[in-house]
Amino acid sequence: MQQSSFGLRLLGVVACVALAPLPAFAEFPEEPVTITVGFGPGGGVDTITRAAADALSQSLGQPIVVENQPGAGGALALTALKAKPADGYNLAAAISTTVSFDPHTTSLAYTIDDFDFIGAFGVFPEALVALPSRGWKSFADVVEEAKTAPDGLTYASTTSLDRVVMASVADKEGITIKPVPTKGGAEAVAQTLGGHVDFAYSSGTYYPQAKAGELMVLAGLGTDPVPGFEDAPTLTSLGYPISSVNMVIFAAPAGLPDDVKAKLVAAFDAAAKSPAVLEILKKRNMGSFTITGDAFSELIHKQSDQFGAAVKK
Amino acid sequence: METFLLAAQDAFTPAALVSVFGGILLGYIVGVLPGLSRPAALSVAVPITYSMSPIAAIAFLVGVTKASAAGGATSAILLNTPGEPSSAATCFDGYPLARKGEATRALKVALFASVFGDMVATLVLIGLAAPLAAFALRMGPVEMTAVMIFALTFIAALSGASLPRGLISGVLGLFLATVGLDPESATPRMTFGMVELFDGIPLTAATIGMLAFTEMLLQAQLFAERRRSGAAQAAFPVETDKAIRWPDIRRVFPTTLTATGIGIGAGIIPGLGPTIGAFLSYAINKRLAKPGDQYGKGDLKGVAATEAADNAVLPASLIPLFAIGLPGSVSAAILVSAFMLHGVQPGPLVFEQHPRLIYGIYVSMLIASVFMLLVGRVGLNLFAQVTRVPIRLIIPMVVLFCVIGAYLERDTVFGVFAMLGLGVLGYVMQRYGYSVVTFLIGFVVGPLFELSLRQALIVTNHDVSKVLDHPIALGFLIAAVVAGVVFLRPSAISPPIDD
Repeated sequence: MQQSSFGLRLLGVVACVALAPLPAFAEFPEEPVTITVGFGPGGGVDTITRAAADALSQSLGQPIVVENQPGAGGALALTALKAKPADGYNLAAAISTTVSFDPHTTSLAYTIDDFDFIGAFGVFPEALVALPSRGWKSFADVVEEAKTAPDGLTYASTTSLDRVVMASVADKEGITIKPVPTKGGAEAVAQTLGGHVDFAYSSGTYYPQAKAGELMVLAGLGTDPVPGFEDAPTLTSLGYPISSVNMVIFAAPAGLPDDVKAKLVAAFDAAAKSPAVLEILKKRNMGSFTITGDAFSELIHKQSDQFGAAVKK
Repeated sequence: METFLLAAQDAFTPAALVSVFGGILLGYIVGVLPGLSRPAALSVAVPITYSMSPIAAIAFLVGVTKASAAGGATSAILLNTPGEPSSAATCFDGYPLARKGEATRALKVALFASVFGDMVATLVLIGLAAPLAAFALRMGPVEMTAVMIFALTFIAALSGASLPRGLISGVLGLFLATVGLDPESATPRMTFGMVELFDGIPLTAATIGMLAFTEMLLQAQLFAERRRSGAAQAAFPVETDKAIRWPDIRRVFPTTLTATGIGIGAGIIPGLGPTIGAFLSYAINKRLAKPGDQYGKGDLKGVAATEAADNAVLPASLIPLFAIGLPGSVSAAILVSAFMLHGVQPGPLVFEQHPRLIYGIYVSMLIASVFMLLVGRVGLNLFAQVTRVPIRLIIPMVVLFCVIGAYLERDTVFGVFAMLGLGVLGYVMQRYGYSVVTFLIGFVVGPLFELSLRQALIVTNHDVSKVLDHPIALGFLIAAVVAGVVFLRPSAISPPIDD
């Protein structure tokens, strides 16, 4: 009697120990998934993440919690993400350069290898723009003027990435192009419209002015032409060995279990096709480009290597 | 004209009126509570507008923005805790007024000055958007540097009892403003490897730490001393006079007018924003003070100077937005994303493409000003009751709001520690007569000054003589020299305050 009771208890203990890790075998996701946006509320990354959240929660069958952790161009959110468990419940939204470029130039607590990449939506319509009254017909005219100008040309810059890209262009042509740092697209465009700089780099603010004909697109920075300005060349098509394809990216801490990652990628695939996401991308002039899973991971590693090489030069 | 009447009709539909009123109510509460800032409230409010018509949506958001600026004065006056960083300068005279038993009078002047500044700036937006936007574009790096140098001369004007100490705190403010990523090379400076410091020391944490938390430390010290000596424990004297009379209005009106003008200027020039606008207006009006004015010790003029300017900034910052599609402030930038959500892309073509919508927004902005007056007038009586609350209850509540506000600015505990640290620094500075006001001017103006200066050096190829090609910049530099000479005259330095 005593014996059997002890045996039962032992069986119970064994059963408990055996059953304890069961939640790990349960279907992901069992609880809400948190996406930390590395930028402030109301901006592009935030709007796109919130539009995607509905579609994601439908495919995953769990609510999506969207939080904001703005700061240091998304680096604050990614630094925090690195320390979180790689269980699929913690994701962060940032832009490509937060992982592909910033770690090369700034001493950050993370590198590209600290993350698994789930998906990316949209491409910022990055371009070099100038006043049409300058009389430039093409980017070659700009290079020509830079060669004759005694002090070189100035351009309004918004990120360290555009400084590396323009340095590489100037290096190839043997010209001087001086970046004038600004707080963002609005200031860069205003300085160009006011004639205080020769041209500007802008990731999207220039769009309505360019549509109205008050600014001209000299060249796009992506691999494909800027949507709506297909006639303008890209730096790649002009023969410069550098491009910038900046997307809204979604990353997780490195080391996600394969099945969890597969589920997340499938959910982002579905979200990429959702009308809500496509409509927001269209409204923000970010095209309809989306990429997920391994293809995305490969793309962003390639970009990181390209920028790494350019920065070292 | 027909379009305008149709647009006015849109603005007076019940749905549009209700959303403006809702926006004003929400904004007023956000403004009063120090923890909730205007940009955060706007971005929370944007999703609420998804289901509204475009005009109701924009009117709602404009209501939130306008009322948060007006509400920010309430806690600044009653608790020395700015509800928004842009109300920080309102503390300088508003709080002393409340301590003198004139809280209701200060609140009334703040409200009337706010509504006045807001209305005039809205009318300027409606009437003069296009020419003023063209002027805004002429403000390049060289011009901005000159404006900033002009602004920094006011450190001398506001130094208080001791000019050297005022300068020391101003320079300390400038110095702390350099923490963060270098604007040109994006190299971290004095961040000690902390990612939290890459964007600099948080502004909200600095303003509420230096003003509100410091004041609570002083109050706690006073409370402890009084309890030991067994003296009375009233936080505020009983209010004897709550009315604003004709002589008050006549005295304060010119200040309000100047302040509105300064606020409109600060709104049009991209990057200046409401906080710098309010500080500038306070400093300029203090210099224009007539004999008998008591700036810094509780003068209604000081409250009007900051609040009229603060509230004039928002409508004016919409001038570059509507005329050329470029937002002049963070709040205006959030409005851009709201426009885009509702299928309107702000830009040079917006008047051709959506004239009815833009005129409708103009009309609802004027309606919003009227609602703001109503809500503010009712709210004022309610909030003035704070003066009856014993200090032993006020101190913990304000400290709680300081902590929440510092946390919410960037959603990090780091902000809370920054607020506590700066609060203690503010306490020590006040203890030894170093001005917190000049510190904050240096801190607020610093980042923009540095950026403009470095831009100007690049654009002019480090050739200072090229300033001669920039008449606007030259004008501001001359004004700065004149101001510097006037402020440094021994007689211009205020006599020591004894209390």
